[in-house]
Amino acid sequence: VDTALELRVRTSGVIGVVWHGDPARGCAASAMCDVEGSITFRPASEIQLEIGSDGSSGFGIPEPDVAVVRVRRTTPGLPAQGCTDVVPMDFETHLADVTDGQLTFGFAGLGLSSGRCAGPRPNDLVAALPRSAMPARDVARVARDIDLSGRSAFVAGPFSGTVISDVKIHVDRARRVRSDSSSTIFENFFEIESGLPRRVVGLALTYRTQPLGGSIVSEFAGLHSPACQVFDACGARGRSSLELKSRAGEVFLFGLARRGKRRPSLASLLRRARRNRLPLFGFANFPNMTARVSEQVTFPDGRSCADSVFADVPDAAVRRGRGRLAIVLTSAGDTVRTHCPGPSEDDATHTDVLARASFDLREVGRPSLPLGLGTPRTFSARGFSGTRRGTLPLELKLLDAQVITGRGF
Amino acid sequence: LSPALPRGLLLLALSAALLAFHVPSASAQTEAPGAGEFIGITFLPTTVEGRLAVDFSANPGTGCAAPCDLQGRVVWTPAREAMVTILETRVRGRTEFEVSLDFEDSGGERPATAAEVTRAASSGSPGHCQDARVDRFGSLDFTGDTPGTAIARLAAPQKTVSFGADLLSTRCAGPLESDIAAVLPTRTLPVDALRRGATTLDLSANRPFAAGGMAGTVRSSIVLRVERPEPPEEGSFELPREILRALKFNRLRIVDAIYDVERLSGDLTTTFDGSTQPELCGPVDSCGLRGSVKVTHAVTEGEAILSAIGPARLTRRQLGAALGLNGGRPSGAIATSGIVTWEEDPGRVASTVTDPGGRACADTAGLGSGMIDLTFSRSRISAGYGLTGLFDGDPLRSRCAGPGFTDASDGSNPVARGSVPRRALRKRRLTIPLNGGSVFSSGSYSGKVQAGLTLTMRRVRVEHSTLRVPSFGGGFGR
Repeated sequence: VDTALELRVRTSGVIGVVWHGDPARGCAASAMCDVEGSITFRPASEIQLEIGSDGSSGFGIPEPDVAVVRVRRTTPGLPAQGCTDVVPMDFETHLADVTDGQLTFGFAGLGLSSGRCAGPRPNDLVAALPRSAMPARDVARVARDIDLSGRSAFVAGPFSGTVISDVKIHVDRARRVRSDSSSTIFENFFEIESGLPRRVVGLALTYRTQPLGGSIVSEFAGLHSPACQVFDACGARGRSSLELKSRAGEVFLFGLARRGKRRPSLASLLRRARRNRLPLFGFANFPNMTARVSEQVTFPDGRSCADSVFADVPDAAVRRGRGRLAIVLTSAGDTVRTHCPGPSEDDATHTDVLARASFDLREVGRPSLPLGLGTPRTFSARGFSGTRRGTLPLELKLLDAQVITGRGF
Repeated sequence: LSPALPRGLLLLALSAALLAFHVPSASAQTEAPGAGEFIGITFLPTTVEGRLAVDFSANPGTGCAAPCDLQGRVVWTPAREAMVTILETRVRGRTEFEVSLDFEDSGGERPATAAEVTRAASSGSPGHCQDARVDRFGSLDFTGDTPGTAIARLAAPQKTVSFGADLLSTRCAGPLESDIAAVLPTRTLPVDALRRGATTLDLSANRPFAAGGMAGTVRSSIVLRVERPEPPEEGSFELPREILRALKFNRLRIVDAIYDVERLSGDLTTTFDGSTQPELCGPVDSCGLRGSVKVTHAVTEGEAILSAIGPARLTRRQLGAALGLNGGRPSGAIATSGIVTWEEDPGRVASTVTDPGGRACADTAGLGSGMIDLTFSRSRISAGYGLTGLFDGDPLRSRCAGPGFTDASDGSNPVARGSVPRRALRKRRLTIPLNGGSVFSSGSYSGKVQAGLTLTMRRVRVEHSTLRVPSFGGGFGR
């Protein structure tokens, strides 16, 4: 039975982030010198954390807490304009992290950012957000008070700012509990299920892909009034381009079934997979991937903001659909936003999928599968509407196809 | 790859397979329906387009005593994906419908309200308040006023400040939802017609309003596109039959003690100051602000349900002991919970706020529905008022600027609580005083809450039922 540490954590205080356009950071070039903003986040006051032997943390259903973003532009001679947004926070899941036996409390994983408004991105704030680490075994011995208050400076593109925290954390002495992790639930499945196969046979397919290269472009404009007004987006037009590059990648597909008396042939397993009678799963890997976002926004008064940043590298995965398999790139951060204002990645994609290349199950086992990674769509969300286009060529070349056997799970 | 697949990869593939399964949430079946017998439920996927914007001003011309010299805008943006839910029950031989629009956006988007309000220099020193919040639950009540009808609407006219979300509520000064409800469009239609789906409900409007010393324009571009009903959940059930056959089911026993709320009375007073950190109070225009909000409850009608749930091998009497209804030692295998709810509250909220220039804003507003959480410990029953995790509404809200209830409550603990011995539940009438207070500091505001409330309720019946649920191991109780 897997065990975990259960902690009751009480927090008090607020995290604040304030910033302003800084001439020393080149704000004039991006028309951001007259912009100042703030983020306020008050963490939930009492949460339960469960830290498993694998170092994961988190407990229960995350509360939909939000950080409030308030940005104000005061251009001389023009009426002041405000951008107000809310950024969802998953505090329970990200307050604590365990790595190499060290338990770290902090806010780096929260994804605090300026949302759709001009300001810092999550990665800009990571180093400035307060944190405190201790040996994980210590929390099992005594209760702890952790002071995360203080001020810390940061820079973010054309902005300079300060993180202000008066957060204090009290950690009750941890107790050891039987883990409620999903794996335990699955294990229970097997405890009660005696009919699952003990001897399995499977199909394993290995594909090679060419290096990934190309761009996915989001073109956007502010919505009509009044929807645009709370985001200071009226009359704004822009373009955000996500440029992805990687080395040659691999895609693995697996199908498992109960083994009968005879070992099936590769051809028969492929036939079953193509008819969806051998469910296929898999994963994809694009090594050394880089992601760069370039954004340009033009405002109705002629000002223009241009910026370019490295983004978190998307994750690659294989997903099953109805009669189809898809290779997808899923988001690991915002790949649409820079320090300029604009729609969020959620606005542009509305899912966690940045790009998808799917093929019919009947194509499984073919020597070559020419595909395109992309998800063209139109969007209309908070403050902005637009289109998303662009496809990255992706050709799967079959390297290996095998029948595999093994003893069960 | 080696010819023999590594065990790690086998487990990886297996985990992926299991994660693809959907366990139906509706697999529990009650065998003894209570007063409202469940007949059926219909889910209609709905796309919500548009938003609601209110431009307002408050000045001597709009009749404001206070707050005055304000100009602002509040925009409520719903989540794009929602579900019209029609719950059909039979109550005392009559069919009743509860209809709601529940926001369930696959991208996690929640309905949000954003406000920008400017305080003119003539009111002392100029100020600018920007604020936003999201609804945790996000639901609109479409239940019709007459049997068999549904009313698509953004706000109910009778709704006042309550524990349900006020569409316009932020920390900035501004109109209340009840101020604009009368000018918002509604669409009335038979439930049978709505249940067929494939209909568009246009709630757009562009109308002036004047209420509470404020006047302005309400602009709604909200349009609901209601699709045909979703097939029953069982349609997506993908567990292999061999696993489904092997699932064990547990039979549970439930005892519910039903109480009528006779009275909730008393005050909850919140006194507050704007934050002393200029970087944080500046954007919400709370620097130097001070004031108080007094919530006076006068509830005379409501319901409380105290529930005990445990394995069916336990007797009703054992479950009753867990609720304190009779003697005996409660079993550790029993889980208990309770909740008090009320729909109407003739009480009032009175707010007084003074800005740094010495100008005061005074306002009163009505109260609406609410709830109190009940929990059991080894020997006591405790009542907790104001757990913000349980509701979206804001009993502190008035037209004046000030902290929201999410500022005054720390989100995890009630702002007022009280307890009595569990044995007090043996009598039909139960009175729980809720006192005490708490201090808060939320970035925009800091202050304290002081409560003096009394809850009195009377037991009217005890119900018993059993339930069959799939077992994944584990149990109930402490």
